[in-house]
Amino acid sequence: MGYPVAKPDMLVEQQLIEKAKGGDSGAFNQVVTAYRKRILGTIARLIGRPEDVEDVAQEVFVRLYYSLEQLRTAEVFEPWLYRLTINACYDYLRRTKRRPEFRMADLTEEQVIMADSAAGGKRNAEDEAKGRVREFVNELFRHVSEEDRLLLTLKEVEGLSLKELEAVYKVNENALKVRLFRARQRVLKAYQTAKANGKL
Amino acid sequence: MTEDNRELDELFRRYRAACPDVEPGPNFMPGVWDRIERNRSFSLVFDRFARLLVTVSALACLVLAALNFVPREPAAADTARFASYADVLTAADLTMEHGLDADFARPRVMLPPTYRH
Repeated sequence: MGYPVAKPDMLVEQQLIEKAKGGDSGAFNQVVTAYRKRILGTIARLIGRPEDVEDVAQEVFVRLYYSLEQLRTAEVFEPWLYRLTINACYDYLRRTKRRPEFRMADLTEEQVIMADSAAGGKRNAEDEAKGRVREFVNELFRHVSEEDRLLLTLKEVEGLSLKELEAVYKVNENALKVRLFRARQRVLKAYQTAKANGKL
Repeated sequence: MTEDNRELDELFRRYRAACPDVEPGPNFMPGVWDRIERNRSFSLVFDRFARLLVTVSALACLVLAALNFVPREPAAADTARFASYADVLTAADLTMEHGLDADFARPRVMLPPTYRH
């Protein structure tokens, strides 16, 4: 199947990152412009609340601006940015203490109108199927801790390799493997239970 | 890999495809710069306050150090308080020899009001 899986390839030249690191505002703007869509997507999948995604993403880039000086080399920029993103998501989830879910009550008036019009006939079967998949996977993720959910999302959904995760989390690859295996086993067990109960 | 594992992998792929792409709004970049400026002004105020605090602390240290070097005449009360046991005995001997009032060298015991006569 040809579903897109994010590969954290460098979106900008390392030279541009060095310039941004040196305090060049224009270079920093270019870096943000190049990475914002990817970061917004990752945050959306990690926190699952569309109305707060932009706010968290802005926080990530503000943290990036103030921490760029500490970046050793431009080569480690992406793990660094992912680390900032994950930390900002953790902070957000800790602040709100809520699990990711898409609820009507959290939508803005404009989004509710759009949702209503979609429900009025425009929403096709594909959208409904996508909604069911999101709800089902979010339900499966409830069987693991917040930390494990983020780790599992980065590995299985965002497509980060173990090496990349090692750079992001700065922990031993074997420890990550064990943690991922346990988290996945829990989700798999929940999946098997759901399948046995005919919830698929 | 079991069949369930394969199905789970497939489910994760479908989940990724099902999550809508989030487009940045028109105010995204101005918002980022606005936050950066706000943080910068706060850190400037904090920086100034920290510098002021360091200066004041350094001045206070200098003043206290200077006060340490100023020679002081020991007060009579201090002599009595810090006198050693041998000094007290010597003072008591002197009073016996010269008929001075011995009370000045005797340790004072503070009694509660009920025990006072």
